[in-house]
Amino acid sequence: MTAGPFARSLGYFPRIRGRWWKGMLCIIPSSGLEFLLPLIVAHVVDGVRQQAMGVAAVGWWCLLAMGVTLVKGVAKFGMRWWVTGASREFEQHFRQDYFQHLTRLSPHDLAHLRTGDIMSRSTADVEAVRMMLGPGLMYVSQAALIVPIALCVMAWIDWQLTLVMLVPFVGLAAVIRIAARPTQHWSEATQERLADLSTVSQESFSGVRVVKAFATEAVSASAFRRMGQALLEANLRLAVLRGVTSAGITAVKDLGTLVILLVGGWHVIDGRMSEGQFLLFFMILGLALWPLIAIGWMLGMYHRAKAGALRLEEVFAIRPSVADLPRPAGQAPPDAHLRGELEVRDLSFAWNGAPVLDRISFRVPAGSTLGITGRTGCGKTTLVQLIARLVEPPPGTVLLDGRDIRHWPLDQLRRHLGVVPQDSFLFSETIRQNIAFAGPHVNDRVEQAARLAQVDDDIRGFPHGYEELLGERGVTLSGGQRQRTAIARGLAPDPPVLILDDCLSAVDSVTEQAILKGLRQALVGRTAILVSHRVSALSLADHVLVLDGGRIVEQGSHDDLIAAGGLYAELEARQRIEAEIEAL
Amino acid sequence: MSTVDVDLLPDQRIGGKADRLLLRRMLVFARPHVAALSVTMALLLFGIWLRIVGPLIIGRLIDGPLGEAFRTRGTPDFDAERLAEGVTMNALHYLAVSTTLAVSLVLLEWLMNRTGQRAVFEIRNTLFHHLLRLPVAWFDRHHVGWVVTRSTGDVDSLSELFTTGVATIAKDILSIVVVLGVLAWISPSLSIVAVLVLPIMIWVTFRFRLNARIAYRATRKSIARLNGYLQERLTGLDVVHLFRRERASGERFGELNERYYQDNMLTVRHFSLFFPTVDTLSQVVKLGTLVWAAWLIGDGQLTLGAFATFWFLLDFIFEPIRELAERYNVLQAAMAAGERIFSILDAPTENGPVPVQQSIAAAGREAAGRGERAPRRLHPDGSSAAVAIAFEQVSFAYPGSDDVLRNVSFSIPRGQKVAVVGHTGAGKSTLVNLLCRFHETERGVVRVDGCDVRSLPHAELRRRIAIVQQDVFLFSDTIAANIRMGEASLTDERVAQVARAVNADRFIDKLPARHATVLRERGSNLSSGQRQLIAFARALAADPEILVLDEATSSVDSETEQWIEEATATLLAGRTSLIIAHRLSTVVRADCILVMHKGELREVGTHEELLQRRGLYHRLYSLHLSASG
Repeated sequence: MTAGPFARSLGYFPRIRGRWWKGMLCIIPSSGLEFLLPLIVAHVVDGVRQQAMGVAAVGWWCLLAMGVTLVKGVAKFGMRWWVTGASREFEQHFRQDYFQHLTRLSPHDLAHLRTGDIMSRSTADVEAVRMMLGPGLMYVSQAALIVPIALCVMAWIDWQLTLVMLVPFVGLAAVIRIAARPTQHWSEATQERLADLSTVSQESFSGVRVVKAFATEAVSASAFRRMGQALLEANLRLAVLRGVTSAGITAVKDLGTLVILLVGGWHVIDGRMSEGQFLLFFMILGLALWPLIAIGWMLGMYHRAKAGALRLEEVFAIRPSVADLPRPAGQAPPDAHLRGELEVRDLSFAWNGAPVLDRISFRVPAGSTLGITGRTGCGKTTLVQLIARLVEPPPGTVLLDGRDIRHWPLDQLRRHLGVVPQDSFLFSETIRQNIAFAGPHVNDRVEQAARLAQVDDDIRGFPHGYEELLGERGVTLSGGQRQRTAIARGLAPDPPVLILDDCLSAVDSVTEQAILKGLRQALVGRTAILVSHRVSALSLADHVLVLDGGRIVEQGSHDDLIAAGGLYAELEARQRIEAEIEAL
Repeated sequence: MSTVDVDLLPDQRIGGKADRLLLRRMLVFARPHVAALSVTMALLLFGIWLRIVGPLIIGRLIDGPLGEAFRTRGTPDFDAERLAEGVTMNALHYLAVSTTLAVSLVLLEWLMNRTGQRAVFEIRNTLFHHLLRLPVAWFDRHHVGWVVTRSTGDVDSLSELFTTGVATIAKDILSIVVVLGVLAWISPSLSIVAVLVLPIMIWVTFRFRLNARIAYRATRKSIARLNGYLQERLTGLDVVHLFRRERASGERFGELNERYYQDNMLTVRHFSLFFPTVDTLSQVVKLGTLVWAAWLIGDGQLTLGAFATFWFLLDFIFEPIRELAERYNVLQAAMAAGERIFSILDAPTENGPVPVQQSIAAAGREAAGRGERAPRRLHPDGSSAAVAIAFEQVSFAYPGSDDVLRNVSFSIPRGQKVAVVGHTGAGKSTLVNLLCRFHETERGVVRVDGCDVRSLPHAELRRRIAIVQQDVFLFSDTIAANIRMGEASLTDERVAQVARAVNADRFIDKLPARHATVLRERGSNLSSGQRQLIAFARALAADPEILVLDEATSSVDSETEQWIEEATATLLAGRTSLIIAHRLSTVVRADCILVMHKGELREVGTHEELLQRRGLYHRLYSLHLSASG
């Protein structure tokens, strides 16, 4: 066993060592006392046989044995309780650090992993490592103690018989070792085929319209049948292997019994061994076999744990792409007071080599509102992500109060910026918790923010008002309600700089007007960036940029742009017609 | 959102009439395997007997040769050779028994699994088959993930019932009864000690199982909550960053993590207590019998060998009790799974043909039954109908919502291309859903070739109509298989030919394995334009009489755009088509345009006619012009 993949896991040892050692210490009495009982029984049997022991003496011996049994029981409880408990504690700490690590990463750092994958690492893989380091080590230690003691006790009574007994013991190790590889192979094959099967059903059900439209139900069903057949075969192979393994284990046990019957029987006749000792051998055989079997599954456990630890290490190896940078020498820390002047200077940006923004420059004077519009895919959202430093901008391209945002402490930067992202993601918590997401310091601004975002009435209409849970266990909000709640969440911390990324797309025009009215109030004294498709919203801005293909193609005030008759004017005309059609 | 399906956990529910009914339904699946199950039972019984033989031989050895050696050692009667021979004979007997046991074990494992796996295989196929026959509306109501879990995980749980469930439960109970019988036969008074403790043992075990299950359910719930939280924070990671909630989220996660830990520790406590308790209890019983046996032996009522047999057989009672508790849980899980599976099997499948025009339906069914493609043109009077598609005063509402179609009537003559235009929510896709009978028309009639669609068998109707959906669904199979869509009679040449006809060859030829290229899930290794071309090839390969085309709105590069436009023309040539149009070129070229607005058919006519009318279409048209700038 190499510590390599487990280096991180072993680092948790100091935190759990109290329990772990207590549990491990319990293994000594719990394993050692196992032997006392058979020894007492053997002694009693011999005493009874030789009529040397009266019922009273037998009673005393049995009372002693019961005492031993009780102590052993307590030790066994301690062993399981402390060792498993320690492993659970390890699991808790480990998972916590895994989560903390994830929260430091940006979604782009994790883009190559599917959510399900990140989740299964947090559950299945952490569990695999825990099983190995907790119960796994416990069983191995137990086996490491019991098997040698068993051999010693047996050798002390009859070394010749013990030597012969080694044959089944070695045989058992061999059976487990031989069966391990094909068993692993076929159980993996079974898993794969099961995955194939669920892929087929997943696809047939997601694509049920296509399946039905082309009337290929029979084809899907036969593909499913074929895969089911393959799974059936793999399962049967596995069953045979398991059958052979368990028969092998039984056979080894039977072989042991046979050896004791035969050699032990002869030795009893020869007078080299008493009948009590003869029975003792059977009892020890029963005692020593299962730890050996446990070692067998420890092997599989070890492989799973190793694979799990490596997968976890992969996630831990991801470094956050956005993190606090050291302040350049000679630069003073930013003032507590923010003027709120935002500047983008010659910003170009590409996603994986595909250019998105091309030499964008603009300045938003403190207290003014900038509107940004453009077609889907023109780079608006990327621009917002760069300004909020959700994605790392090139050095010196985004400046807040004249200072490169990369040199602002992240915490301070984001405290100054209020961003309402495009997808208005809400958490399954209460509405109040969602609006006060920034923290308890905004608690008393929740309702005010909700009123500004025109969602207060809706919320009061819910059975539990602001305490209504969102999501599966609570109410489902409409798209418009979600957006307005997200706006309220952005407004609640009262940020000096506000960025609204296309957050009115799902609200109807009446509500939009109401929100815009609220926003007009809210924007007073704030620097704001308003990304929108809606001309009605953009008319709030002092200055509007029109992006196309990652470049600024038009800019000016609402009126100037309409007069210019370019993209913006077209957008305005289009929205006017749309409104007319809607009204029909 | 949680990844762990809490509903999947076995409930504490068993017994009662509903369960007996359920069990009876499940046993239907076992019926074909009655022979195998009988052999399994026989082997299990045989196994019990074989296992009892071992302790019996030990006892016989002690009372026989070993006992004699003890009594005669040092006397002239002591004949070591004869006694050793006796030992050997017994050992050989044991060898024979244990070899048989090993063989029967392998056989048993194989047989039980074979029966179980086959039963599962059948259940799974039945379920899958049934699922595919359920109406589209059913799938709209159920999560795909949920359905997949039913057809995989639940079926597996159910399988336990056949593999290890029923047979082993029977074996365990029998084993307890048989061993108790043997114990009583060896020594009635000694076995009373064992019998007295048995209820305590059973009580402790089942008590533990109950507690463990409650604790287990609690841990499943808390892990589901923990995972749900993790998943949500991952999805909303941006928001977490924007509001600087990294630490606060960590703290909340910590609370949930702590909760999970505490629940786990409860389980750990139950388990840590249970095994030592049962162990200690059984050893106390054994020690009790030892004292009592010592008295009996001293009194001459019991031999030492009989006692040894008794002593070893006691384990054969304790073990099945422990296992029974385990099986009980498996059985409950299987029952719960079975219940969910039957709830799906009880869901009504798509309505078959309604006997509106019996003869047509019968003809279609017959054709389908013969595996032939149905005749192209079917009409009540046997001739080709002049009208391919007709909607007659159709109104429609999805369950629980307002009408999405209101009194829509139109007819499409054979061979015409008809474009449907309108805003989102105008009811365009509902037209398609009703035409293909994905949803059942309730008010009004939808006709294809003059026949009410409800009178046609599904396969027959859908073979006449090919549909290209906006959101192209591709299967993770080869490109050829995606074009062929299960129509085995299509040659590779034909597949290549249709691909060429719709310009799909232009990118397929650049792929390493060309038509044999395996697509990723949902064809994610292709661009949206490429996916559309494959859907076109698929539709062309089906060579339908009627084509329904739901044009994609997604933007593609101008070259692909050109290919798609050409391919659309190829696909539409000589076919009756209903196009939900987003491309101006398609609309302008249509023979007729239906303008839908808020569920109503507002205007009908050609492009020029409608423009002249300067109504809704005119506005939509100018909107389009301004959008494409």
